[in-house]
Amino acid sequence: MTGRPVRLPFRVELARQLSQWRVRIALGVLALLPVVVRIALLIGGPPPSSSRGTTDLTALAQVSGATFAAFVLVLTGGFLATLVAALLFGDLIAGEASRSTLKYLLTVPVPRLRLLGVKVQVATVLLLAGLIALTGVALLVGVLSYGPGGLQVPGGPRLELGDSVLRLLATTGAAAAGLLWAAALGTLLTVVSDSPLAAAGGVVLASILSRILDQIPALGDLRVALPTHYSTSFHAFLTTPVDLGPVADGVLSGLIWAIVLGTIAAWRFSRKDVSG
Amino acid sequence: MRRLRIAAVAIVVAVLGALAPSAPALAAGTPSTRSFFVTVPDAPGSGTTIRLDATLYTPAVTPAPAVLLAHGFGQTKADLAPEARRLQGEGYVVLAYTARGFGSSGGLIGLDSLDGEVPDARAMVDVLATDHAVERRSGSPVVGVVGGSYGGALALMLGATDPRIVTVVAAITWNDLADALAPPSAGTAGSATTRRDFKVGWASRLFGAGIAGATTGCGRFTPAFCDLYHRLVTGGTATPADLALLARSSPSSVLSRMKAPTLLLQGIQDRLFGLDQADANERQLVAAGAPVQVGWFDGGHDGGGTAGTDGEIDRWLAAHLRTASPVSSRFAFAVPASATAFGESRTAARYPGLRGTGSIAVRLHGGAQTVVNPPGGLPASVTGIPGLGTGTSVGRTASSLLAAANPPAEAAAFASATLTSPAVLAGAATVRLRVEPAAVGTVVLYVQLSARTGDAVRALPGGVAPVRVDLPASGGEVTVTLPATVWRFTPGDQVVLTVRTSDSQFLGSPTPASDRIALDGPISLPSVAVVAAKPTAGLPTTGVLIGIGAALLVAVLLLVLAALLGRRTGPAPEVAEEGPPLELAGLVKRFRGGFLAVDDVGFTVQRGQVLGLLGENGAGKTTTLRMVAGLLRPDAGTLSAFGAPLGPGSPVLDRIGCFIEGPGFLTHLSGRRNLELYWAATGRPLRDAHLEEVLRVADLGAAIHKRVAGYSQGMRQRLGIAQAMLGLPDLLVLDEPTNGLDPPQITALRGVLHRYAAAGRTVVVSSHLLGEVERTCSHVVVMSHGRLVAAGPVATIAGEADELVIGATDAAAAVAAALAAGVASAAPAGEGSVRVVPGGVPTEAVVAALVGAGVGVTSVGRGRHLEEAFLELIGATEPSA
Repeated sequence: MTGRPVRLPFRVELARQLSQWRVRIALGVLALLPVVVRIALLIGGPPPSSSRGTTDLTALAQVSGATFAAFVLVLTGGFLATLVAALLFGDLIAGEASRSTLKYLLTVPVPRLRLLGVKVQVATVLLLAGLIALTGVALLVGVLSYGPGGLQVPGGPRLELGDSVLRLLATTGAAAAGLLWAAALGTLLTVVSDSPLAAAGGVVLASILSRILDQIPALGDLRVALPTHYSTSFHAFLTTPVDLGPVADGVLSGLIWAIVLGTIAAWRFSRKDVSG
Repeated sequence: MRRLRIAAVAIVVAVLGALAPSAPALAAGTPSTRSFFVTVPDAPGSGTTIRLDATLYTPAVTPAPAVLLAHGFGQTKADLAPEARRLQGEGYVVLAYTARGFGSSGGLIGLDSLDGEVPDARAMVDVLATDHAVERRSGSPVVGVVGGSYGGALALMLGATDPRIVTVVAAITWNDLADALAPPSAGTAGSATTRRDFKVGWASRLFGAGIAGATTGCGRFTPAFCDLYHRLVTGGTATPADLALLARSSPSSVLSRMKAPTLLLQGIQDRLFGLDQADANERQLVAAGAPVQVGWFDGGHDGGGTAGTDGEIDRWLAAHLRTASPVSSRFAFAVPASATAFGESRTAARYPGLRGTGSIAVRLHGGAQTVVNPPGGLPASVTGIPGLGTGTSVGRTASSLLAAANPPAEAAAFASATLTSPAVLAGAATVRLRVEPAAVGTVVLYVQLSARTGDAVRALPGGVAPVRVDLPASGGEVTVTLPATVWRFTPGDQVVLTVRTSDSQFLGSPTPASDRIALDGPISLPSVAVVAAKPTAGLPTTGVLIGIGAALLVAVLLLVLAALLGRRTGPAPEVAEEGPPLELAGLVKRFRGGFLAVDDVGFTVQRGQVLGLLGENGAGKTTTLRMVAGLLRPDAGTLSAFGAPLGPGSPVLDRIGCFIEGPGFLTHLSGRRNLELYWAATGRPLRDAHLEEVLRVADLGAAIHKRVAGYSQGMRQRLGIAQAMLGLPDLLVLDEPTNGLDPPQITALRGVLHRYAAAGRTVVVSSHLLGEVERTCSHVVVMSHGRLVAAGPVATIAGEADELVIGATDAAAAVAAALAAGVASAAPAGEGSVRVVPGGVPTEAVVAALVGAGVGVTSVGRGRHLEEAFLELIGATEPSA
């Protein structure tokens, strides 16, 4: 034997995932959502001519292309993105197990941590691609519909388009960081459960529970431990001035969740008896 | 605070809890808290007394410097508890008490009167002076006083009237109560009569706090103050007697006696006690020769009170109470967040007053405009609500919503061009207005400064400047000094000056009026040259950044650890002498729930063998093969393949092709694509796959290009076996490969496996089809109930291929006859049959011998008898079967 072959190369796993309709649909929903939102706004008729001092978000959304994109990101960044992350990461291992393909990957042999690692990488890339597509399509649809104007900060200035695009990218990045916990929890559940739907459902359930608990002020500072506590921190990039404090808090929270849940997931998977 | 009585003072300490009459002189103990009442005279020289509710916080280490804490209006000592505990933790003796007229303390509210609250405070210093826990320096107790708002004025007045006070911290408080509550009009400086406007919004709110819970209109106010309030709020003007009363409650009357180092902290969001009050205090303290430092922070009565000043106060006490460091002249001021920038803390070399160290002139446009004051016009223009903080986005939003309803006819607005460079206003802006009233009389106007960014207008903190001047019909110029504040204008902003005829926070005028307003020259915005600036918000805290760094480090370490663990099972140890393709020893596997699936199983498969693994359902065949494939970890025992250890992910699995418990495919892809992707996952070159050869085995024809979802079970089965054969592995492990195959396919598979083994490779097949195993395999391992019951060549287990099974009417006689005929061996095999190994004796001779011995021959069969052997083996372990 000369040289160790690279088991399950990244591009192979990417091809395997992309061949699946559920992955394509999840990403397609993200990419097409801006179009759906635009159509919904069309049905509602044109925005009121005077948006001065308006507090109506949908009217604000139609002020400019970049503002529309920001509006779409705010709509999506919380729950839909969590759902897509849950689907992608909940499918990692449980999806293979439910198709009986897991055992054959393991006898290739793909070492277990390598298998999990490659799958996490692929799901991460897919999720990021979905979010970037969402932002890009939203910006494109927005610019085509409402002109190439920059981001209108609520109660603040209208930004330059270039600055706005950078901010939208930063928003996307921060929103992605806000999904770290969901990705890690999905990874853990997909290792523990043999059903991809159960794993994804578990993430969604945890997200809802966390959001409910976050609404209870009596919990006070305990709420910072909730995984969704910083889920709206990406909004910071859509306001002026940009407060990086909550963004950093959100990143730290996400990293801690990811490390804890990810480590448990890796440990469990490396020792798991694979059946079915 | 209120405190009556010059205290010559018999102080009675009525201890609610236990008395601790003698404290140790020096001690490190545990922090303690003690509540008691202090009895003070009701008025200086009066014989009647009142009791004040106090709590003493003693730190762990004593003696220690003492801090007297004074609370804000409407509060009690309980509101001071968090700050008191913090300072106790910092190592100070802390005395917090409830001022007269509030909470459980007796007496009436005198608004920090020199005839009430100030002597009370001195009585509190007496308490500290007699406490052994309080440090003494040159014979005097070391006592500082800290207070905010109502407590701030008391702190200043106590510091000025009690020489024992070492240092004073006064936050968001007044200098002259008359000026604070009924500010003199802008533009009347130097005129004969000072016109005042009553700050009715804040005053009524404070009065309300003072009468909370009362059943009379005056609540716990002294009658003099109650009268004064009633008169002012109903439109009366303050008389000289009123002003004298207010002066008794103003630091301005005593500050000339202050010697103690003083820290003045004033909030830039304060329409009650603005920066002008701190500025007046500063000037008097400097004149008195007291060391003084001024700080403007982003807070105040409109913006979160004194929140955020703890650190500043602690530093001050450490430097000027615990030690006696010289007072720095530096001046720190907060710049609040703007639409595009975060809050900053800026430092100037020294306090410049309200006029700054320089100024920027900004021309405002708008021409002459007429504003009206309709009689009884409601609503009055809203520029803010007391208690509705402008320091929060909610407060700002609510304020801007309220302001949106302001009557437009009552306002004139003058706006600058958009600014092209940033500018920070720090101090009191001034502007000259030309006002032409429609009729001779008193003109009442309210002037406010705002910043406009796009569509959004934000009022500058600090409130409005009231203007109440008498003008002739020809009009006149009025120089308006706006409330001092700090604000950052960013490029793109406009400076907006609004002049209104009403303001909900001021008494205003009921007289109808119509005034023509124009600007006379640019507005002058003071600025302060700074020596340092640092952002106070918008950046992550260092702790969080360190946390992120640490988290990333942990993540990297975990990944490295995972890689190392992976490597441990990694490279196949190159064995000099290659071992047998498969060697199992002492394997045990117990599933969760305790089911013992495999119990001490061990066997060896040699090169070129086709090994059949036999056993009833649940015998442990599949579990054993799963362990071979690395899907399960054995609880005990060892596995090796070709001499290399075998386990989950072992590289030697490269040489093993597996088909275990049914096929698994991406059913939306074609069979061929599945095989290609599977091989791609091995990371080995495609040419090693022998794809075409394997596809011939699968024998799927054109279906190989169709989606697996449409395959029959047999087709999937063949594709699965083909997948196992990809790369032509040295060891092929097939679990129940014949499931779903029809007889011709089974026959074909048999040929495939024979050829496969004939090429020097090895095959392990599990099956429960005995005939199949018998015909396919060279060796066999029999398992039952998790245990290995037999292993060896098929011939050994099942007999030689030329064996005869003869049905005989008399088995015993048949055996005897056969042996007599010279066969190699003969034995009864169940009811009415015998097994004969003919050796060299032809079959017909054996039959003839039996017939000749009078035994009836009912049947003659040739071949192995694995089934019987198997049932025998199973039966041996399971007698009841």
